[in-house]
Amino acid sequence: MTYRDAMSTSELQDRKLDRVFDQLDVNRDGVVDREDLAGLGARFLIGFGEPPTSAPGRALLEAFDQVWAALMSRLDLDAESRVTRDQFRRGMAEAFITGPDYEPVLRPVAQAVARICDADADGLIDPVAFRTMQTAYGTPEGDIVTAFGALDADGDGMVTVVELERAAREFYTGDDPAAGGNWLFGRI
Amino acid sequence: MDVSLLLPLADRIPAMTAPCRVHERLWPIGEESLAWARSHGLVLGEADSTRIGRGRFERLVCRILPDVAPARAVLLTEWLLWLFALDDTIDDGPIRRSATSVDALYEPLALTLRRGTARPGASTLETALADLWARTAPGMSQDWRRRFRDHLAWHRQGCLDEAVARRTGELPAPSRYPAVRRRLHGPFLLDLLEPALRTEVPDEVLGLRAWQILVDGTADVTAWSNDLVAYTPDAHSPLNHVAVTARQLDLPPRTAAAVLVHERIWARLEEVGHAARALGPELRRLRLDPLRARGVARVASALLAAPRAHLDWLHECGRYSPMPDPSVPSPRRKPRVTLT
Repeated sequence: MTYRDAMSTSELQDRKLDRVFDQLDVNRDGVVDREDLAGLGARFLIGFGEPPTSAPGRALLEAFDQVWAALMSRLDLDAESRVTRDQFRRGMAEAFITGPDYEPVLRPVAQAVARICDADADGLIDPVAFRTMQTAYGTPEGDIVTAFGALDADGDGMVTVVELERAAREFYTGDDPAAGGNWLFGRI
Repeated sequence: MDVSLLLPLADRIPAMTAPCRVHERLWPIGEESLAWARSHGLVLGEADSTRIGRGRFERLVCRILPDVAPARAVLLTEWLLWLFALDDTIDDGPIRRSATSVDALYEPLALTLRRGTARPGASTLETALADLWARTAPGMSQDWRRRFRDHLAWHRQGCLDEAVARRTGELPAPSRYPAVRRRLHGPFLLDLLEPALRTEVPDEVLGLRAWQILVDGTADVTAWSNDLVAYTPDAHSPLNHVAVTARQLDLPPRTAAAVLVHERIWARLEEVGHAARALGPELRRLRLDPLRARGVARVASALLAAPRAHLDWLHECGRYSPMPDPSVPSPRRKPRVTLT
């Protein structure tokens, strides 16, 4: 039985999960481990000059830890395991698409990301902070402006924290080809 | 002095308000590294009866590197054990006032790195160093190895400076103190973050002003914190920030000089914070490839974690507290430990 037989994810969802896998697998060896996730977290924090021992920095890294723990739990692996693309798709889908883990696990990640992007806590993320975030995630330069436009639903030149969190939910769990959140990390 | 003098930093500096995440394999990492130190004769007898055994360096490493494979955390812990064994050999031995003798101790160590092996009948420090190097250098570039050897040579010079200061009683001026102290603090240790994180910081990043402040500032903060905690009137090392400040400004060491050093630590932490905020834009300008950019970020993140990790380690380790009564059973390594 293949992964697609076993899971009820759509091709769109698979493409989005593949994008997330590629964000982690920067050495392109076809597997990811906890250090890859830690590396993504570090790149995000350093992009904003945020130390891992500030309150927002620690919150982000702890939230990332929970994502890895949830993934490993779904795959029945220990924390130091390495995960292939197929395993990653399956674990992420079981945890966050068909499973109940988005709210307790991935939403805190989105909130921690938004907290750091919105440094002055006015509920708005400006294009500079958005670009810093996207650079950390490895979004191609040309896609960053497109992604910003797709998430800025009211076209006021700012992405709100609410818009970012909604986009994250649509990206990780949704199956609507028309959803703006599909553009969270650029073209899928 | 008491480490509690430093604890307010964790409240006053936003970059230090959250405790580090701790490697979940802390316990076996500590056990394995201690076993290695015993096998090389760096720790003899009851661990708690020696200053090095009371160091519990895994508690520092596991805070700075909470996500690495355990073997790499073990290796860095062993490097710390080796460095402190070297320091203790100098501090506690008859050579402490003789730069010539210190140099003679260091020369075979430098040669060990160049040869890659220890001489037949070599000292425990040599054989341990050869083993560490054999497990660290593979995979690292010639540039990194050269940088590491350069920094080891800086440490050697720092040890010579310290021996001269002990003999003559002359201390560096406060303005020169940071650079002198940095050499003595084992600058090569920060290079070891790169093999531990399976990366190398490229030359264009090493040359950034923000990076230099980040590295030097991290070394300064941890060194001066050590100075504050380790200060006693008859301290092992005269190259102590409290001693230098007290002497130069004619201040009582335990009060006014200590407060001044505390304020300098705080100010240096703020400089490190500014450098961290400047680093992101500078790195983006360099357009590093994703793999390299991530490696640099991990090293930077470890450096930024170091001040808080070091503070908590100082609080937990027994290296700077009075030696315990040997008749009292040691609480060391009970299976249940409470971590922040």
